[in-house]
Amino acid sequence: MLLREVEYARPASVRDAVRLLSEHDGARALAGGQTLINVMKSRAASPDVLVDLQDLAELKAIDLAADGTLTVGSMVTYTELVESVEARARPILGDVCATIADVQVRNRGTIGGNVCSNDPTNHLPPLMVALGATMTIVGTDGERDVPAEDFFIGVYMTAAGAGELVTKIVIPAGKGDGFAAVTIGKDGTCIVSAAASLDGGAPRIAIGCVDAVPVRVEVSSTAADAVREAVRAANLDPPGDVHASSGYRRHLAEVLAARAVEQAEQRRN
Amino acid sequence: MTETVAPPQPKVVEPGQPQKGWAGQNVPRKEDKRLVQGEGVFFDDIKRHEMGYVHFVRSPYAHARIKSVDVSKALDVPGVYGTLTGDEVAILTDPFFELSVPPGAHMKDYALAVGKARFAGEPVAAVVASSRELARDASELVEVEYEPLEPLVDARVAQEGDAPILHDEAGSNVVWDGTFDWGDYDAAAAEADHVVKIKELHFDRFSSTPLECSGCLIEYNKGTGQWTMYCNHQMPGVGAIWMAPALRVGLDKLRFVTQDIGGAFGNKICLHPYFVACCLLARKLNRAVQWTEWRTDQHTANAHGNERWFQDIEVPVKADGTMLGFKVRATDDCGAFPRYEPLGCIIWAQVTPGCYRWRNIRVDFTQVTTNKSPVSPNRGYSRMQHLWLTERIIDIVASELGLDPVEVRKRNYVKHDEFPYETPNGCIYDSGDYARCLDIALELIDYPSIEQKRRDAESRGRLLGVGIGSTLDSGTNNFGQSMILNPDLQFSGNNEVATVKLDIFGEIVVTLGTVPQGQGHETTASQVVADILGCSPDDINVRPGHDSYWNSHAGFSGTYASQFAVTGLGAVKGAADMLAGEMKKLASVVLGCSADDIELAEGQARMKANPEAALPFMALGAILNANNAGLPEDLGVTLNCRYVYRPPFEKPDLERKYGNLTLTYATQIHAAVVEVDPDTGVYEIVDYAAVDDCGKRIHPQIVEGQVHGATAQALGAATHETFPYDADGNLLTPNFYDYHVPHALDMPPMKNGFIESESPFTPLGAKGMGEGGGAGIHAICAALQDALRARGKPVVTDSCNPYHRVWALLQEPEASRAGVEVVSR
Repeated sequence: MLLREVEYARPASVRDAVRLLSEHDGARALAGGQTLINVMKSRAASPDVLVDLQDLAELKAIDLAADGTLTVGSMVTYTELVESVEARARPILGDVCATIADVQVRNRGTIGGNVCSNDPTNHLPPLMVALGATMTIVGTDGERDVPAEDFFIGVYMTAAGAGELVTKIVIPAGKGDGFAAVTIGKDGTCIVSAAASLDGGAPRIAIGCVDAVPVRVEVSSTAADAVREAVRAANLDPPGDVHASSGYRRHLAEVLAARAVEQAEQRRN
Repeated sequence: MTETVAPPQPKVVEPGQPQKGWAGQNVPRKEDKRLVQGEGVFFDDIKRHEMGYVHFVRSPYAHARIKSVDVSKALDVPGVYGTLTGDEVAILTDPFFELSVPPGAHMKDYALAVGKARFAGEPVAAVVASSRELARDASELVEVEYEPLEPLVDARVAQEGDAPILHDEAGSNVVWDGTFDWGDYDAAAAEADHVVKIKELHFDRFSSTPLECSGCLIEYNKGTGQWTMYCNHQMPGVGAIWMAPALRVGLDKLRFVTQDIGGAFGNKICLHPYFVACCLLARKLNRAVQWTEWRTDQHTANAHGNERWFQDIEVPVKADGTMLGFKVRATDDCGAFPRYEPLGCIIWAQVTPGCYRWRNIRVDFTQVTTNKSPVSPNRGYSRMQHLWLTERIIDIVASELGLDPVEVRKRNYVKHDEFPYETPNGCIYDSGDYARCLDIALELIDYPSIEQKRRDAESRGRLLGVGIGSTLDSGTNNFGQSMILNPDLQFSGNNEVATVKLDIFGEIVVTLGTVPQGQGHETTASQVVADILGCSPDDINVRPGHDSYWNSHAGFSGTYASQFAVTGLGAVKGAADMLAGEMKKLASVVLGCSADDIELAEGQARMKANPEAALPFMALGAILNANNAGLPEDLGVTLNCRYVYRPPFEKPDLERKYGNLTLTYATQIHAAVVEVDPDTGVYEIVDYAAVDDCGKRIHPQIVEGQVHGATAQALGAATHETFPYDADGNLLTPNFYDYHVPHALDMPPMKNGFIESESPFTPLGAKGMGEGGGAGIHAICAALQDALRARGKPVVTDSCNPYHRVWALLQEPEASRAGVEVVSR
């Protein structure tokens, strides 16, 4: 791995981490490294300072409140989510995390890293939108909560700006969730993904890989035809690439949204 | 994950356990202890004091004139030791020699781009620095001024008048072209009841992806003018033939050393441009230099497998399903430089009719350059492409004429009582029983239940299909086939060498001419020697790796083209037989009897009639090597035996392009069952059987390992592994993000079967089998076509079928059918 020269810091507190991130223009937070190390390797990004969050025990907690609200620290790994008793309150989380890449990556990759990198092919951004999650962002000016729908701004861009850190993700109670994806090989990169949640009224559907950010689709019914019609009506204009044409992605979005809703319905019942 | 059917697995032999007949047993692999303990030695493990690290500056353009290269800023960086540019290379070296007749003969290939860059990723300059990171940092300071030229990415238009020309000196993009015409195609077409016409099939570009990328540590001995290359070159003999004239030195100035190699598959045959650049740098800087290839470099600029277009295919068929042959126009895309090519223009002819009794075959073959990565012989080299054609022919013809794909295969297969079978172009298929292998494969997937399973799948909204791949792995090349391409090439036959000696303390030491890359040569060689000398494989030391200074080697030494079990072990057997004879002779002198009275057993030379009269190997070794006074002057025993195995080949008939091109033909009959999700095009391989016949299996577990590997390679190629380029000549799958190699989870439950049809032509009855024939690619293509049959009968026309392609077939079956036509009498 031929990285550019980079400074490395390993803060002991969130406060120090935020300070380091805000002090240096070219600072980047390093969570598990699933994305960042790879873009550094290819030199697509070359931060001046790497702020490694791995010592921040306060970001590694999973808490389940009495009302079923789940709070997941941003440095919780996929494996920890898969194995967490508390996280079974929202079973879809562990189920999806268990299909991300391979064991080694799951042992390192984190929920915070997955949402903050916001690669359009990542599994968790659409899931977080569908689940109605809320991200807590800490900066030098204090703390604020941003709903997932507003959190994802563009490719590799989120509401967590320079000098800021996502510390936790709050997920409301629920079990009527579904997720469907077509991936490049088993547990590979998503070609298109769709997440759905039926908790809290009308289905919340979010589709990944079809735009810079997860696309919310509004629909009142859970019938497959209605869901597909709603996706069609969203007039998606996904990018084409070596794995899928724009048209194929548009089609997969329909099918997968319907399947995610169907799975959500089965789980709810 | 795997299961094996009868005949049952030979039992595992514990180390040290006396056993009659080591060949055929799964003895523990000698290599594994060091490999699993992390004690293997790969080239990158070797370091030298104050060595430099090489980083190549690569062209971002697929086709561009190089107007200037300025390395001054890189040289200013502290810790940078030096640079190399194309201008220097053009002065210090000669172009690598080309194997082709014109126009290919006129193409000029150097260690770095000279004047022009011809593919994205081509090395244009090199920087050496005190660390890898620094070398890479500094390489970004090399300023190259390019004048972009129009790229050529589609081989089909390479000969059109307005196509850009890659190699101006050649004046054409054609490397080699020629017609192969055997039997009487026109008469066959006239005799046929149907002629099935297929407009175009495409064998996609992909490659094997060894765990260890390429590389070398090269040091230059100024006093002797000699380079030592610790490396992972898999064919040093041929590498030296390219490198030495280019460097303007004799072959003996190049010493290749390998120990462990993390897979090669053909990717490590054409490393000479990189190695020559490193040799020049080592000499220029008087410093050891190391080049370690990175994964993206490997994908973009090492070597791909040959891409091939098959056009205007015609297949004459009798009413009963007997096929009389075929004709085709093949266009092979070898990328920017020929390198090992045009050998791929003949290698396919080793398996001209595939597994079939087809007698009338006409192939118009053209190979062209394009602005893509050069190719090299990738596992299954050139035969895989051709066998994909023969299997596509079988399944398309069967589908169009309503024939059963099993029955039509059996009708057209070479029959088991026809071996040795001479093909229309003079190749001798040595042995086999294709129909029986097919029956075993069908049994493994429970073929009679397929229709029931198809209905079950339908009830779940899935389309089930079954497909067969019948292939041959032709091994042990007759290099005379190269003369069919270029009569001036002075290559024919084949050879391999081994030495076996008995040392003072009774150690038996074997050296090989081969260059193992994980195939277990140390293990299988020890089995063969142990059987001959009457001892345990544990008593045999096989030197790991290859050292061209110290290992005796022959002109074609190396590890490639499915031949070790024949050539490598043939040489080992020959040398061990010689040593056994000498040991008996020496023992007979000491014991005062005739050599015929001596047997070798249990680590001793002893009198058959009186086993008490015995000399342990240690005594023999000590007497001859250290206590030899008084031995007869004419004893003629050295206990250090070298044998060169030379397979029985004749030179081919160049006019008719006719002759035996390979010595052995291992069989692979695979069967796949897939389920397609018609709503998405996603499919899963739900059942898979691989039945192989490689004659005598020296080490069944190693054979099965090769079968698993070849199957994974084929399934990757069939499903996701592809190297597509955009119109500008950029590779779209330059790393493992987009180039998906099958993981354990992607592999289907695999069932293995085998038979052993011993080769009548080889020393041990064994056949080379390391490459396989890509049977999995053919089986998946056939299974997909079968699964989609109910959806407008689309025709699978590409070797690689990712989900989007299956989706397209589902959407527009007519588009794929447009190129298929049946003309009936």
